[in-house]
This record gives sequence, C-alpha cells and structure tokens, in this order.
Amino acid sequence: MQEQAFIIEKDQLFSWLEKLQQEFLLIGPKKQEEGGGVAFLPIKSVQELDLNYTLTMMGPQIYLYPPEETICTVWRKDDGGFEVRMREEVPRQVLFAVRSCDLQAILVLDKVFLRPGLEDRNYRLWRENTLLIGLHCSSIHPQCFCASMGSGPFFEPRQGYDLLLTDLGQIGYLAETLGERASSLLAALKAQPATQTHFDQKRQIGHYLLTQFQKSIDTTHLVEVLLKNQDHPVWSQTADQRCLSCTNCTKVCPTCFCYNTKDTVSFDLVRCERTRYKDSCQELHFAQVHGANFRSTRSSRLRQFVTHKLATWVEQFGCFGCVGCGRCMSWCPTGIDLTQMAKEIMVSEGLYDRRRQT
Amino acid sequence: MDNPHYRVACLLDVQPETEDTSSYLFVLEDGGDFQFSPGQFNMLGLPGTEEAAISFSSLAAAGSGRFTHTIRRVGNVTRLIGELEIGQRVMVRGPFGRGWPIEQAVGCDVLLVAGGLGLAPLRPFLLYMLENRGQIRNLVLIFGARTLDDMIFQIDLARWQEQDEISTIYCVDHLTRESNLRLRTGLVTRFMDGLDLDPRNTLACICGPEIMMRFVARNLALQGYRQDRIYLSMERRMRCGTAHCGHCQIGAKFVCQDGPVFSYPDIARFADTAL
Repeated sequence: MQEQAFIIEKDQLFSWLEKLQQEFLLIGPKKQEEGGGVAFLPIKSVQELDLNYTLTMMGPQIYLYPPEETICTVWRKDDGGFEVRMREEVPRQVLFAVRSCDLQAILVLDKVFLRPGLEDRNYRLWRENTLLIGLHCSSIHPQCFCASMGSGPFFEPRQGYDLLLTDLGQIGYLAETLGERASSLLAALKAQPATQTHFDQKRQIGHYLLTQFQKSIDTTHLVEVLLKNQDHPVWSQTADQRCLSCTNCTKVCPTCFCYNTKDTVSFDLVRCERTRYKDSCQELHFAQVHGANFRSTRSSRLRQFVTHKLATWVEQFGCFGCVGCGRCMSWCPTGIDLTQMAKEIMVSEGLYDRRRQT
Repeated sequence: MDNPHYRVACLLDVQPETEDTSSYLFVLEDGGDFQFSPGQFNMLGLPGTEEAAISFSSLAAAGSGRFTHTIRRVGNVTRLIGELEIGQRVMVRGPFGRGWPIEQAVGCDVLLVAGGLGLAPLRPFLLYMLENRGQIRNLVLIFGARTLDDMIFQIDLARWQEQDEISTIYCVDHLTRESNLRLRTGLVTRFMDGLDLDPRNTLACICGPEIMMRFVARNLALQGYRQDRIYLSMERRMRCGTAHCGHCQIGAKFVCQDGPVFSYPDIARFADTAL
C-alpha cells in the first residue's frame, strides 16, 4: 500500500479538517459539559476538539460497531411470504484523533467482523465509509499498559488506518499516510515531505513515553498460565468479594464484540425491525440455553472475561483481546483489575516476584 | 458473502415424533439448491421472534432445496414453528458449522450414542453410513430416552433394529409400556461394555445432554477407546451462526463455526462445560 509522510502545521491541519467536513461527518474527542470528561462525539466546529485527552470512556469503535443498530427490516407480504431489506448505506465519516490502543482495537474488530467468508454486512459498510485518522498519545494515563500488550504507545502495524499523526510540538504533526485515499485527500495541502530528522524526533518521543508507564504486565507465558489455572482461587475470590456483574467492563472494552438481537414488530404485524445491541458475557442470561446455563456463577463469568481477553483470544484471532487501554478497571465500580488477577496467578506459578508488582 | 443472509422456506410436511417434538420438512422458496452435511445446522426464525439454531435431521437431497428439522417446542421460535400450517413460511440462514467427521469413518467401526433429542443430529449421519455401508466396519447405535414416549424416529428405530447392517441398543429410564421396539432399562452407559467394536479403531459420535456426553466419553476413554476419535455435538445459545455474536463461545471455540461437532479432547480442555 502507498505510504507517504508529511509535516503538517497545526493550523493547516484544522483547516484541512474543516474542508473534510463538507464531505464527511467529523467524529473526534470533545470535552463534554459539566465534568463529563472527553468523549468521541460529532464535531460541529474544529475548535471543539480536545487533542490532549488520554482516555475516553467509550472508544471510537462505537462509530464502526454502534452499541445498537438495525440489521434488517422484514415485511410480511400479502401472499404470506417475507421481504427482507438489509441496510443499504451509512454516512461517510472521519474518525479523528484515535489513539494507538483504539486503532489496535479496531484491527481486532476487523478480525472478528471481516473474517474471509464471514463478513458482517453492517460493520463492513461502516468501515468502508470511515476515514480513520490516528493521533499518537503525548502523555500516558496511570491506567494505561498498551506497551505491555504490544499496542502502543505508537501504532506499529501498517494497516487499518488512513492517516497517523504524531505531535512534534512547534514543528507541527508528522503525518504518515497509508493508501491512496489519504494521499489524495492530503494532496491539496501541498505539505512538506517529512525528513529523517522528523522520524528521529518521533522515535525520541516514543522512547520518552515508554518511561512514563506506571502499569505493566509480562505477557511471555500469559496464555498458557491462564489456561492452566482455570480453577485458580483468584476467580472466585475476586468475583465473590468484588464483582457486581454490572457489565461495565464489557461495555467500555473496545474489543468486546458480543451482541444480542431484538425484533420490534409494528402494531399491524406487517413490519419487523431486527436490531442488534451489545450484549455482555457478565450477564446471567448470556450462556443460557433451554434447561441449562453454562456460566451461572459470577466467578465463571469473570473468568470468561479475563481468560478471553488475555488467553483464548490468541488461539481465536492470533492476537490479544486486550489492547491495554485500562478502561475496564477505570470504570469498574470496585476497581477490579485484570492485570492484577493475571499477576496473582503468575505469582502462584512462581513466574512473578510479588515485590516487583506494580 | 455478507452476513446475515436470509432465505425464505415453506413448510411442506409435519411428522409428529413425541408429544412436544415433531419433524418439519421445508423447501426453499427461491428454488435454489441447499447442500449441507450431517451435524450442521440452520438458524430458523420468524419476524418478531428472532432465531433459533436447529440441526438438520435429514440428509441433503441434491437439487431439491429440501431439508428437515426435528424440533422440540420449548421456546419462542420453536413454539411458533409448531403452530405453522402447511404452506406457511419461515426465515432461514445456513447451513452453519462443522458436522460429523464422515471422512474419518472409512475403514473403522462406528459407534453412535444418542440421548433424547440428541438422535436428531445423528440421524443424517446414520443414514449416510447405511447408504455407504461398505466403507465402514461394524456400526452400533445406542439410543436412550426417558421413556418410550420420549423416543423420536420410532419408525426408523423399528427398521434399524431389524437390519443386519447395524446393531442397535435402545434403552429407557422407565419402562412404561410394551412396543415393537426391544427396550432395555437403564442409562446408555450401562450398555457400553463388551460392544463388538475395536476400541483402537472406532469413531464414536455422541449427542445428547452435556452431562450424558460427559459420562459416555469418559466411559469410552476408560475402556481404551481413542479419545481423539470421540466426537461430541455441543449446544450453546446462538444469535448469529457466523462467529460474531459471541454467545456460543467455549474457550477459544465458536460452537457455531468451529463446531457444533468437536473432538472430545479439543473441547473438554476449556472451562464452562460439563465435560
């Protein structure tokens, strides 16, 4: 794929975004009113953008995989048959200033929803109509551990995004493009090509950021150790003492993909709208079938979340399901931290020195 | 192909099996072909009730677009299907999943163990084996149900027990009345010793309640049957059939795509099963 690199001054970038707004819906980080924190929201004026944010509650992937959306509409025909109408189009949008962890989360969702032969129609539509622009972090939130999960602080894979920005301070942004769409959209800017000096600066910022992490986890033996310890006491202890089954962890996790479906029928029974909405493995109903529930205990549901993100995901998709964003522990009402549970298991396996624990 | 992909099928015939279970023969309305293999399943639904995962109980008939599902009326979708009249329609997606490992049966003894409605996904496999009887060695079916009145496919059962190509053992928990079926009393595991099978060269296929599959698989393993040649069909909640909705996951496996048929060691290594 075509790759180019430019230096874009900050004012230049904003006026470029304003031009994009004529064609695309702009979604970016915006400070909410009354202390609501920063969230990815539709942006009217580029002045609303807050580019210094570290962590949003919901990741930007909610604009590619909405928490609730229509799958299809079914009409009962007079002859007793059904006519199924699928979703035909979605708005064109720009997802702007997406952090490395969230870019990685979108790559993970791509693996789930765009499996060859098993593409999900809605996700494919959203993804094709979205311009994805990343912006690397310039500071590290205390809950972040993307460096441990291999998903940050800088985004390394050359796939999935259109444009990747690194803030080089007064010089402006180092803008790395991927693919023709970004190159042609940037062409109008006539920006200066980036030089080796700029890439050296980027590398220095990366080195600095790596020293700022307060949280880490050693993933060397993580998968086999977790799978070997499915009966470890940490599951029931944590679940019984602290887990409320509130589902916050799965709601804020940017890679959680599970959904449930719901049919809404018109009063005359002619029209049925089938929607899907994000479901949670922490809900009691999640693994219920007629006559059995395969995860009826809270500890089995907590174990499912942690071992899925940190272990079984690797066999399923070839990557971790955890991108190290720190959202699940940040929005857990009792502060349950999946890295702490994993570390406790590693300690009992003699793989982790308690004194080193951070 | 984009998912979900819906087709419409018309109900052609209903055969009552037990008080709450019937076999429903459908044909696709678009006139297209419908190929599927034993052990695979469809997502069947009606507008307003979402969908349920139901395995095929018939063999695919090439070019006909026809398929049969044997359904117990216990949930929203299955109860509504039970109220359909001949000629009425359902929405269909499928076929999904990996079925029984037919190719592994060649040159082997084949043991089928079914409990209750678990005979439904095994029926097309058994029919295939009978059609291709020369490819396998001994063929044994052990089928257990609570009572005679809970036994599905009784016409098939009567035929099979008279056929030389297959040995049958039918058992019930409670013997309530006499019939033309030769019934024994007890759980299936009681009748698994001394079968005319070579444990080192037997393909065993099990379908039934998970707790039954646990005891059957362990019994076979203790008898020296090769564990990697014991296959089970798993049942989980499903919403999509395409490994997206996440409900059917067991460890690293999506039951809808990686299964529903798994080799015993491949699925028993994960938590949250009764195996």
